[in-house]
Amino acid sequence: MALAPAGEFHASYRADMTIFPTKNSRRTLMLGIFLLCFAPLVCGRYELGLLINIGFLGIAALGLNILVGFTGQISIGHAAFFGVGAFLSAYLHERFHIPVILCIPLAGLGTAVVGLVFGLPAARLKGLYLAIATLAAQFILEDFFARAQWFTGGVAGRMTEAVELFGVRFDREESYSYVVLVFTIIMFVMAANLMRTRDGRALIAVRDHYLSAEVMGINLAYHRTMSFAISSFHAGIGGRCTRITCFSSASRRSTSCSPSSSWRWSSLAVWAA
Amino acid sequence: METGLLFQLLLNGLIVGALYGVVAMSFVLIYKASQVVNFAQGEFMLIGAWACWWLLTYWQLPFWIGFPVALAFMTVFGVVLQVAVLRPLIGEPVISVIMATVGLSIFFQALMKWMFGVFAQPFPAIFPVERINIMGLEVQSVYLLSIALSLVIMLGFWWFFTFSKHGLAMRATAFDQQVAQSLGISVPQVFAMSWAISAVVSAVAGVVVGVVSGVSSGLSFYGIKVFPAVILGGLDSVVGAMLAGIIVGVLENLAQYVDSQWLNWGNMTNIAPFYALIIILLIKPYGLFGTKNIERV
Repeated sequence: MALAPAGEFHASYRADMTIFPTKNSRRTLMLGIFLLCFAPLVCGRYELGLLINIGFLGIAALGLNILVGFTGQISIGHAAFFGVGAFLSAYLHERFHIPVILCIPLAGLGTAVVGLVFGLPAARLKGLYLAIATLAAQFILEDFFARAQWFTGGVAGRMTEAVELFGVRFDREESYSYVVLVFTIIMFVMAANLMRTRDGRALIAVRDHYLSAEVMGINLAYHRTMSFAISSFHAGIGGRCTRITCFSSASRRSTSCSPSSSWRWSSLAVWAA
Repeated sequence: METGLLFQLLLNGLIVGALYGVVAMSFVLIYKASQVVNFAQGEFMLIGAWACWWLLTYWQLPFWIGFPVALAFMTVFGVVLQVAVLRPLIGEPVISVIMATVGLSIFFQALMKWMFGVFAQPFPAIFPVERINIMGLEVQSVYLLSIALSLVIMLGFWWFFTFSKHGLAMRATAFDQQVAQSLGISVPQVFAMSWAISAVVSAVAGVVVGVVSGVSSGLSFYGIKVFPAVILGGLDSVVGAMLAGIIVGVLENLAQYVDSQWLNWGNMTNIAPFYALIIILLIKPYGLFGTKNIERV
């Protein structure tokens, strides 16, 4: 059985903090990932495109889940961070000729910084007020995208190069799905591990009862803004992944950010939660 | 520097700001009564404006009949919406309620586009005189109507909450639902009433904006601009909402003036309020008149 028996029977902290409750649950997951590796051989173009979509939406929704689900903060401006990640990676590559594979984490970090800036109100706010602050972030960033031609390439969008590693170009759905798969796994492992660390548990404490958390010595402002940054990091990586497959011409794809899609992400996270 | 332009813009700001204030008041009304942040406030305006437009053009009704009929429709609409969508969500987490109203907003916007098309439709002429000259400033007569209507609505709100039985019941509910209930106030009725009033008042603003610049889905952006206003005024202050609406209206027109004279960035009208919003949240999170939330363990 892949499921743990009903009730909590953990006798040690180690058992409590493990990612996989049973051995079989780990095996099932491994098997699933193993099978996914063969997807490009079996599936058609369209199904692969869907799988890629699932991958990066999963990454973005995971980021939102860290923010909404684990820290209990509401963000309704997440699509803007998504867009920042996409544009930033394309810009970094075109302007500084950084290899695309490096651009992806860099874009994630850059988005984290942007998220940090817009998450600053989170240090003092919570609940509805914070939700409205993120709404403002959404509009400000969108306006910035429309205004900053040098960054986003204006209305036409910016072209992104395909990922290239060791002389192999991941420019088709078949090969690109592996890139997305790898990133999805990395991000999910990171998130799962985050929740086992001191900071991750602090986030959960902030969500459950922030006053008690503060009394226990958790720095509220620090953890709230940090969760914003981590969440934007995920959104940025997810955003970077989506844009490559935006229009499936062979290697050059266009980047554009749709306005009200952030509300779709939010509904995604509510689903997930 | 063009002083004429500045004054014109300031006047515009006052007028548009009064409209923001009215919509912000109806937003605050819902928040105060039922603790729901309504992201579909702009769609209330949109629906009201389209309903009125439809009555006036399709049925060829005169304005003084079509307008009240549209408002009556909005009353029913507000009540039905509250009972059908929001009532089952009582007691659910904040984010679920927010997502529900966001969903409502997207749904109604799409519905209105589907029913009435995507192009802006002009209202039939309501006033014989298009513009009036006041001290050298051109003012559309509709704007005068809107100022008058805003004042009437404000006075109405004041009377309603100070003297009328229902208004007092609403205030009692906002203060403490359990106590209100034990005093014989029907809380569900108060909720429904607050949504109905909010829908009607927003629809009035929607019709005014529609008469000025035509009805189109762009109208619902007013509902988003209301957020800077309510944050500045404080989420739960009706007076604050009104004042802050005017401030935001003047602010965005000032920003446009500064922009057109010196900066030339463009689009400042729409974005300046959101910059203001972030700054206000950093400095004074509970706004000018909002209740400070004191929490105890």
